[in-house]
Amino acid sequence: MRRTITVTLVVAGLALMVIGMLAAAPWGAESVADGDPTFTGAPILFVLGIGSVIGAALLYELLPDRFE
Amino acid sequence: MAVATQTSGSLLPQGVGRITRTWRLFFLGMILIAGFGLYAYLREVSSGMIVTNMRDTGTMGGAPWGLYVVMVEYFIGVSFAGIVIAAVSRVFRIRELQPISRIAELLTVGSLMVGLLAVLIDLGHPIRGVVNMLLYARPQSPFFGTFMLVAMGVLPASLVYLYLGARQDAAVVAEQPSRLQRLHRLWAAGYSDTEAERLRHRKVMFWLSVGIVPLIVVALSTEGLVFGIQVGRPGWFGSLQGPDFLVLAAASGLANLLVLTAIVRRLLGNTDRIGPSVFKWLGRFLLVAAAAALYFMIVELITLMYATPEHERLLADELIRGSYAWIFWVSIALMAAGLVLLLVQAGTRRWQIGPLVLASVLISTAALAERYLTVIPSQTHATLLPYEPGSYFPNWIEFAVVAGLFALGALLIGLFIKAFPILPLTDDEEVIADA
Amino acid sequence: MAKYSMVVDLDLCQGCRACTEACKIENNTGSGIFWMHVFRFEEGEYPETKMSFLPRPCQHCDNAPCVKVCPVGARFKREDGLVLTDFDRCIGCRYCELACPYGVNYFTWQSPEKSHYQDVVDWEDDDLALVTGGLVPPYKNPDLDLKYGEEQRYTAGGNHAKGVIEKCTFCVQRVEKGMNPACVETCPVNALIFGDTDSPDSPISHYLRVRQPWRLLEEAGTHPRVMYVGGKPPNPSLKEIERPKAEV
Repeated sequence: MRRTITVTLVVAGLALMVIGMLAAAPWGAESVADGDPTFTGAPILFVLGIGSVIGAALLYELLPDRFE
Repeated sequence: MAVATQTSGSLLPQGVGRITRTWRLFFLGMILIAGFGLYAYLREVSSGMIVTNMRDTGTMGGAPWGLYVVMVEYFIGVSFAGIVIAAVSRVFRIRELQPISRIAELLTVGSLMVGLLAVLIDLGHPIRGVVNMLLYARPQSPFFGTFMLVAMGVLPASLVYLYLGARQDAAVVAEQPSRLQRLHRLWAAGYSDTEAERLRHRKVMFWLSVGIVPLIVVALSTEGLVFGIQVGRPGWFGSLQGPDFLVLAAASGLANLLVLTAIVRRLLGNTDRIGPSVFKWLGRFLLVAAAAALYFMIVELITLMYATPEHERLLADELIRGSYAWIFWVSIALMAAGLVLLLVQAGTRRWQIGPLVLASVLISTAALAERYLTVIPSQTHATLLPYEPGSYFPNWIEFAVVAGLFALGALLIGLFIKAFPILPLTDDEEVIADA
Repeated sequence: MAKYSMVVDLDLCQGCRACTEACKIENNTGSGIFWMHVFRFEEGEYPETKMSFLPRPCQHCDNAPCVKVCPVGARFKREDGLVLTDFDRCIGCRYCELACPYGVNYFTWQSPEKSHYQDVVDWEDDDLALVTGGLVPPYKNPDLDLKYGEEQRYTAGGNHAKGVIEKCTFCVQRVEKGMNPACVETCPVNALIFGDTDSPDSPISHYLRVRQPWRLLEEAGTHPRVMYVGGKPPNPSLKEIERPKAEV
C-alpha cells in the first residue's frame, strides 16, 4: 500500500511535470500572436507535479504502519 | 541511538532553547538590521524603484539589473554546496562530514529563502509576479528555472530533506519537557524508532539524496542561462555561463559552509563532534572548487583579451583597465590568495580552522565580486548600438535591503540553532545500508 | 493580414527630432523616456568631421529576443508584426530590456504621473471647450486606454504604470485606425515611411522596390521590421555627440 501510493505519486508527479511543461509552452499555436500557455494556469500542473514527487517522499516516511 | 551532546543546566542538547544575553543581543541586532532593510524596501514600494540607483540601459546609461540581481545570483549560488555536501556525504558514506549535514542543509534552505526573496524584491510587481508565473509561465524563458525549478522545486525539496533528515532527532528531543516540546513533537510526527521506521527513513533519505543533486544542478544552471542565452549583450552570451555559475556557486557555498561550521563549533564550546577531519574535508573540497573557479576566471580573462568582436573587446578593456578594473583584479587576487592559503595547508597537511576561515572569507568575497562583474558591466558598457557608456553603483536603499537580507538569513539560521539541535544526535551512518 | 514595417531614410533625416517629440506627446511618455530616440553621431577628427543621424524606434523584430525571454508572455508578437507589451501582465523583471540589443525598453521607475506632462488647465472645463471644441491634447487621447488587437490586451501608451516595462508600440492606437504612427506623421522630410509590406501597392512596398534596405545589427539575427535606407550601419568608431540629459 505504502509502496503503491509512493510509486503512484512519483509517476503521476513526473507525468504532471511533463504535461505541465508541454502545456506551458504554446505548442501548436496557430499564430505568433498566441504566445501564451496552451491553457491559462498550465504551469500550475508543473508545480503540482513537483509537489507530488516531493510529497511522495514525505508520505512514504510519514504514513503510519497500518499502510504497509 | 545515542545522544551525543548534552549540556548541563538544560535537558535539551546543544543549548537548544537557552537564549543567553548574547543571543538576545544577536537576535535584536539582526531584527534591527532586517527592519531597516524592510524600511528601505517599503520606501521603494511606495515611491517606485526610482529610489534605487538602477536605471535603464541605453539612453539613460544605467543598469536595470543592479545589486539585487547580483545578490540573487550570489545567494542562490551559496545554496548549491550545502545540500550537495549533505547528500554526497550520505550516499558515499563520508562519515567525517555527517556531523555537519544539518548545518549544510540549513545553509541551503536559508540562502535559498533570502535569494528568492531578493528575486521578488527586484520585481516591479512582486505579487503579480507570483500569480502570473503560475498562470502564464513560459518554459522558453530562463526565469522558468528560477521560479519553477528553484522556488517550487529545490526549496521545497531542501525543506523536506532538512525536515525528514532531522526527524529521528526530533523524536529524541521531543521526549524532553520544554517550551519547544510541541514543536519537536510536531516535527517527530509520531516517530517511535521501530525497526520498520528506521528502514523507511534510510530508504527515503537515500532516494532524496540521489534525486536532489541532479535537481539542484539543473535548476541552478538556469541561473547561468539567464545570462548565457542573451545574444544582444556582449560578455553574456556563451555556453559556459551555466557551468561557470555552478563552479563559483560551489566555491562560495563551501566557503560559507566552512565559516558557518566554524561558528557553530565555537557556539557549542569547540565541540569535538566537529573535529579536524570535518575541516580537512571541507578544506579539500573548497580547494578543488576554488581552483576550478580561478581556472574559469583566468580562461575568461584570456578569452576576453583575444576577443575579436569589437564590443567584446571594449568590454574586456573596461574590465581589465577601465572603471571595473579594481573589482576585477581584486576578485582575482582574493580568489588566488584564498587558494594559496588552502594549498599551503594541503601541502603541509595541517588544516587549521583560523586560516581555513580566512581563506573562506577571501573566496566568498571574490565570488561576490565575480557575480557583480557578471551582472553589471555588460549593462553599462556593452551596448551594441553606440550609446555613451553608462555607470551604476548601488545606493543606500539597495545596500540597506541587501544588509536586511543577510540579517534575515542570519536570523533564520540563529533561530533554528536555538530551536533544534544543529548537530545530529543520532548516528546516521547506516542511512544507506538497507536502501 | 497586414504586415507592418517602417523604413527610415537616412539620406533624408536631418536629425531634428520632431519624431521624438511627437512620440512623447502622442504616448505621454515620462521624463527621460524616449520610445523614439535619434542618435546624433560625429565621425572623424576636427575639422574633418561629419555628422549623421539615426532614428531608433523599437525594431519590432520578427525574431524578437525580448519576446523569447519574457517569463509570462507580457511581451508578445502580433500577427501583424507589432511587438507589444501587455501592461496588465508585465511583472517588471526587466529581462526584455536586457535581452534587447537596441536598448529600446524603458522601465517605469516611479508613478507615471510624477514625470508626465502636467496639465495646467482643466481640459474638461466647459468654458475651455468653447475654444478647443472639445479637443484634448494627444497625450489625453482616450484611445490610449483601450484594449487592442484580436488578443484584446492593454498595450497602448496610456497604460503606463509604476513597475512595468514600456517601449514604442508603433502607435498601436493609431495603426488600428488605419493611421500612421505619430513619428511618421510628424516627420517634416518624410524620412519615416510606415505601412503594410504585404500589400504591393503600399508606399512602403514601392519604396523598398526602389531602395535597398539594411537592418540594424543584422548579425544579431533578430530580423527587425524596421529597415534603413541610405546612410550606413553604426559602428563603435561613431561617437554620440549628445545624450538626452533628462532624468526620470
